[in-house]
Amino acid sequence: MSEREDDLRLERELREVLRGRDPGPAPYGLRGRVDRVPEEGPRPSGRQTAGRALAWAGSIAAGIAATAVVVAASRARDSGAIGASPDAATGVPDPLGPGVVPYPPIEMFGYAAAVLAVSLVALGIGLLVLRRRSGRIPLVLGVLVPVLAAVLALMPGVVADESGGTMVQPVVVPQMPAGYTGSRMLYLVAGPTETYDLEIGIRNSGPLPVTVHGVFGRTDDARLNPHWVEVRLVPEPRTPSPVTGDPFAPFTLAPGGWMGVRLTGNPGPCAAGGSFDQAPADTFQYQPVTFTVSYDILGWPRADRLSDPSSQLLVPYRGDCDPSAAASASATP
Amino acid sequence: MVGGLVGEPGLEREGRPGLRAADGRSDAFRRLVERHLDDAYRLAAVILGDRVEAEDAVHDAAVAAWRAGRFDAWFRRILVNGCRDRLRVRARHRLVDVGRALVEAEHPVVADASEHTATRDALGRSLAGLDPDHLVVVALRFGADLTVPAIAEALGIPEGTVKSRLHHALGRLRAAMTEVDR
Repeated sequence: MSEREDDLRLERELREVLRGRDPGPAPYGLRGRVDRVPEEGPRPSGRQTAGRALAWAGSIAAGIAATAVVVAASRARDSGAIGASPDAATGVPDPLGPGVVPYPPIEMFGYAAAVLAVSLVALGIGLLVLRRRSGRIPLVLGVLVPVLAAVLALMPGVVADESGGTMVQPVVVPQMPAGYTGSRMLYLVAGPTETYDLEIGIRNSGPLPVTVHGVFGRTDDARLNPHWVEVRLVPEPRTPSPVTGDPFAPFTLAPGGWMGVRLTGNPGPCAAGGSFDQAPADTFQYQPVTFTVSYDILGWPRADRLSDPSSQLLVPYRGDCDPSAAASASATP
Repeated sequence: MVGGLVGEPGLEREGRPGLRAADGRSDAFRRLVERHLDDAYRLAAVILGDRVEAEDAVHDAAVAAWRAGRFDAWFRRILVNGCRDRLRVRARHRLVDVGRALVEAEHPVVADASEHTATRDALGRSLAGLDPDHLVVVALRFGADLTVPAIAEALGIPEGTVKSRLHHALGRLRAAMTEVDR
């Protein structure tokens, strides 16, 4: 039997099967039920009403949350990120421009991804609950979008990398007790009016390209005011040293890509500087030097707080220092 | 076999009056129901293969139509989508007819005068195993004799999607028929 004959036979048999399902005219009971529809004044059941209200509320709340996150993240970028406030005329970020602040609200970047992901999940649930005629598209969007967001928010990103070596100056390397097996300690001894240099490598440890938008200074102690006065990029591991590098501009790192960042910083008005002495340990307190790299993966904003991977870099300062008085004193010639 | 459903402009364009003022509208609704109920019921039954469920599906679609103040081709879409939802629910709680499987094992179908019956029985089972979206398209095409464009309009999907679903569904049904022929 040819394929054409097969198809004709299939159609014929199929019609017979479906005809066998034909029940004939509607039964009397159904006519009565449908006739009563106008009298019953159909209203959505309580469950339907609650479900729809919940779906709408969830969708609206998710939209508001997502908007708030975007606004907060954009404000943080504008106010705090080096390299995130490009010059209006040239589009080139100015690392020393007014956008550089000592305490940027960098947490916004860290939390934005998680909050936005949760918002999208809520939005997806809202879409799922909201019964649409075509259920597959909302289902796919409701599942895939949050999953994609979560992947982008949680996947490996930029890490500090010591393959290029770490350069810090001026620094004091303390004599550690015999048998000490912890990480190497480095004390930055630049004074309040001086600067120090930190050159460190960052590497893209993830499988997708990342675009780096800025490098933040960071401290939790108001007595310190560590901030970068210059940020330069050193595309190759430092040979020879020191190198000048190029002024910071947003750049893209391929998977596994490496970039050296040379940070010139001021340790703040309370930094001990040359007066630092390891002996009277109680006189000084120590602030670790960290920096936060803001970047995006396929447009998804991320920020990771990094530090020198090979050593603990500490700024010694006097615990009894008044930052405002110290700032005034250091500003006076 | 199962005819089309058309609307009544007066009912479509009216707003949704309160129940006391709805006498004229109720009458229009009842006239439309009277005119199209048989077709709707038969269409639902062909899709669902279950008369009781078909009654419920038609009732639900009528409620939706009354609520929306429309009874045009949109009603058929509501009805068909309601049937599809019911098929999906049924697919999630599929019952296995163990008795049938045992009988078939002990008394295999042979190709003789009952060949037609065996083929249709196999097709019926294969229909029940189709994806609800595919089953709806097959029922509209071969049960309601709708053309591909009419099916696309009834379901609110592109014609290409209708053709694709028909192709896949017929492929499975053909395989079931061929299996019986062996």
